[in-house]
Amino acid sequence: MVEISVENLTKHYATLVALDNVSLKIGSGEVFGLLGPNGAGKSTLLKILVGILRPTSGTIRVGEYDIVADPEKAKKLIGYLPENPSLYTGLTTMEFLQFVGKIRGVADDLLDREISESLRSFALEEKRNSLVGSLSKGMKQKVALIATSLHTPQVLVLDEPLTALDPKTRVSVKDWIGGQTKRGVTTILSTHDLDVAQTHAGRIAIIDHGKIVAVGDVESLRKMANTASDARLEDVFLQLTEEKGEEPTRH
Amino acid sequence: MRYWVKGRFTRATILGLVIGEFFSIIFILFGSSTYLSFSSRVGLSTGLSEVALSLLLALFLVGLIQSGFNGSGLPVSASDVDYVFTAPVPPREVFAAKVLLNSLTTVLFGFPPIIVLYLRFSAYYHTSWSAAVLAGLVTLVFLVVGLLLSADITLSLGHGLGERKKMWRNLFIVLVMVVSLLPITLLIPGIPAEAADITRVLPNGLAAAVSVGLVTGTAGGSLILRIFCYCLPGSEQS
Repeated sequence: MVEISVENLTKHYATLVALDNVSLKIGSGEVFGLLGPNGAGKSTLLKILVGILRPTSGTIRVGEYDIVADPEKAKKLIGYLPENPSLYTGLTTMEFLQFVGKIRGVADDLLDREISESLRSFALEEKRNSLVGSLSKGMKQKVALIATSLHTPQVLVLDEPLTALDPKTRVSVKDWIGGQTKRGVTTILSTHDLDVAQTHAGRIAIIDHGKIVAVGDVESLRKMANTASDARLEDVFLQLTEEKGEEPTRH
Repeated sequence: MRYWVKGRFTRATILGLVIGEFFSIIFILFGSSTYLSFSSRVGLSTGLSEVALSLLLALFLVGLIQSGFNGSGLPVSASDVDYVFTAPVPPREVFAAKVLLNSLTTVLFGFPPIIVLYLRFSAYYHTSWSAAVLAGLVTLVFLVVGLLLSADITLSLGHGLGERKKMWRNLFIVLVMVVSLLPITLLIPGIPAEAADITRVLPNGLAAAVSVGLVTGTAGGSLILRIFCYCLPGSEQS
């Protein structure tokens, strides 16, 4: 399994500092939660981790590979679920999954088997020849989840996996996350859903205005926030982000 | 690659492109017939056709350069960002595939209207259909080179090019745009004939001079056609 190391990561967009000297270490097989208000920098951090964006300074290592210096080797290890995934709507479900599997280097015979099993487990078999554009939001999310894990990644990066899903689909997705984490895959889970974070994540980082406000398990976060030992994570989160609340850094 | 092409060209897109092609061919036939009829009545020289084509190609070039600066010289969809750029594929291969796809699309959908235009001219000037085809290829080469320039501009904007180098590069591109529009001066009455020679060394001027020369059967065009036929395999027999 694979560790993730983020060191002094900074990202500027013109005068706006989206990430300000962020450092994290995520152990092998750990499930790591990333919480923060909208615009805190969660998605920016994840996009740099998966190679979509380049950092202004700092490093991210996935295992032994630097995502900037060795992007192809690092990306081979990562399965990424974007927030609001943009699937190729002109392809059928089967074609889309075959496309993703092939560009991620999955062998053809293994790929067909993986896709069939995954479609069966998500009850999407009858949609295999339907255009992706015709699927409901929940179905598209399931297809995106399948695409995330086709190449059996050692690291999962999940950006808001439960957003705008109906309750039944949320249960499916939560079960899927649980299954992946049981396999010992190093997982970074960015979510607004505090229940999911509390249930699945061993440690949680709270990010606000581009800075890491607090990192630790739920118990240590409660102590940092000076809340009661049975305080809800929501109260801890609000306490910590209100304490550290400040204007976004601009240069 | 075939999934990527299929994902981009949905049925609706292809239908739209085919309908667009049909109407552009009709428009070109109508427009070129009107122009040729008018030019024969008032005795316009082929030089004006050359200027007109040169300006048209210059406008295309300016448009392509502008789209390069807008970031649409190499269009990247949200799906590409989520699934291709996160895959272990070198970005250089992705961009090369995109440029190839754009160029092939341009050739596939650009060739019919261009060849119809030149065939119409070649029918009027009684030159061979092969001259029209060659003229079409010359114009397409110019357009594809413009596409490559546009893609290069878009790519370099996102790259970590130094600010100073970017400034010089931008100045150079503006200069290319200004120079490409020089053929406009040929429309000024009393402009010396040497100005036409100067515009013929510009990429768009050269492409226009060669293409128009081929379809109108001028001395230069006939020479180019003869050279091209000579270079074809088996041409020693003919």
